[in-house]
Amino acid sequence: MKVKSMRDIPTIQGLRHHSMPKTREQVVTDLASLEREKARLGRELNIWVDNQKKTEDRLRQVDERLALLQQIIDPPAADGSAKGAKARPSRAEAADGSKGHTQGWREVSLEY
Amino acid sequence: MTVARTIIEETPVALSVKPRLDFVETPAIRELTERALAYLAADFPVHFRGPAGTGKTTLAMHVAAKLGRPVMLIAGDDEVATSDLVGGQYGYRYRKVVDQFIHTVLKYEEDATQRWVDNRLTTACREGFTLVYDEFTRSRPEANNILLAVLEERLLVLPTMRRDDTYVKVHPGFRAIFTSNPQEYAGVHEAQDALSDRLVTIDVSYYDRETEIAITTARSGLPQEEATRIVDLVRDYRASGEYDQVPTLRACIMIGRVTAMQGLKLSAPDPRFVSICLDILESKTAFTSQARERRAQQRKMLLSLIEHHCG
Repeated sequence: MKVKSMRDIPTIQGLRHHSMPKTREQVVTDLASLEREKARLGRELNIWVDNQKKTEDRLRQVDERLALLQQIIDPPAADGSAKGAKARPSRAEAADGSKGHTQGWREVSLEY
Repeated sequence: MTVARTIIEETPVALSVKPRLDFVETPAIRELTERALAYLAADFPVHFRGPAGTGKTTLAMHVAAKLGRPVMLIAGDDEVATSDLVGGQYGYRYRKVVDQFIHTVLKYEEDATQRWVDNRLTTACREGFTLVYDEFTRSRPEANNILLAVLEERLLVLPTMRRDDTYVKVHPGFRAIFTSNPQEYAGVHEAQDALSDRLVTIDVSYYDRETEIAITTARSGLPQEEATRIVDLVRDYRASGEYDQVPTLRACIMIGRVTAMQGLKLSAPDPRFVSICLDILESKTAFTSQARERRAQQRKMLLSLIEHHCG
C-alpha cells in the first residue's frame, strides 16, 4: 500500500478503537503487525511466568531457612507450645525507651 | 547504616501515696480534707499554713491521695533553684552515624547535643500529677517565680535555651498543694505576694482533743484511756504557755510510743516514765544560763502536771 498521507498509517489509537481498515493492503499490514505483536507478547508472558516461578521457589526456600533458624534461636517447649513466640522488639524499639512502656514514669509507694 | 548513641534512663519517679493502716480520719481532719478538695476541684491550688506539729504535710499527702493521681513531692530548701523545679541541661547526648547505604560512598556524621532533663514540676505539669510542695517558704522566693504562670496561665515557661518545647501547657489533671509554717524563723523566706495571692490558704492549727487522742492511740499502740491521759498532760502544758517551743502532737506520740515499747505504766511514781516525759517535754524550753531558775520552775510545773494526770 502506498502511503499517501498520515491517514494511511495505522496508529495504536486507531487499532484500539477498532477502526476497520478500508483496503486489502491495510488489512494485510494490520494482520502482519498484529501477529508480530502477538508473538512478542507471548514471549514476554513466558518470561514473566518463568520469573514468577523462580521468585516463588526462592521465597519458599527463604521461608524454610527462616523457620530453621528460628527453631535454633527459639526452640519449641517440651509441651509443644511455642516458647517465646511473642514478637521481639526491633532494634529501634529497643533503643527507644519510651516505646512499649505503659506509662512514662515509675511509681514509688509512700504511706503517710 | 549504623547508629550509635547513648541512651540514658530518664524515667521520672512519682509517688503513689496511700494512708497507713493506723491512719486516723476524725471529723476535724475530714472537714479540712473536704475543704481542700473543694478548692482543688475548682482548679485552685491549696496552701496549708500552720505551726510545726499540726500535721500539714500528712494532710497534704492525704488530700493528694484523695485526688488519686501520682504525686510529685518537692521539699522547700534554700538551695532549691528554678532548675531544681523545672529541669535543666544536664550532660550531652552523643550521636554517631556511619551510613554506607551505597557501598562506595561512606557518609559519616557525628554530633553532641546538650541533654535536657525534666525535673519534678515539669513532669507534674506534663503528666497531670499532684504537686506537693512541702515547706515552700524554705525556698528562695525567686526560685518559686516559675510557679506564677503555672498556677495562673496554666503554662510552664521553660528556659529559652531549649529549642523545642519552650512552653508546656499544663495538663488539666495537674493540682498543687503547698505547706508552710509562718511561725518558723529559721531558714525560711517570705513568700511573694503574687504567689500567695494565687493560693487558697487554709490555716491548720492544733487539732481538737478528740483528734489528738485518736492519733496518739493509733500511732503509739497504747490503750485509748492511757493515750487520753498523755494528750491531756501535753495539752495542759501547751495551755500553760510556759515553754519556748510549743509542745505538739508529736510529743504525745513520742511519750506514748516509748512508754508502750518499754512496757511502762503511766504512773507518776515510776521514775522511768517521769524521765521520758521530762526528756520530751523539757526540751521545749530554752537552755540558757540565765533561764536556770525559770527551767526549775518549769520542771516543777511539769512534775505537778504528770502527778495530776498520771498520779
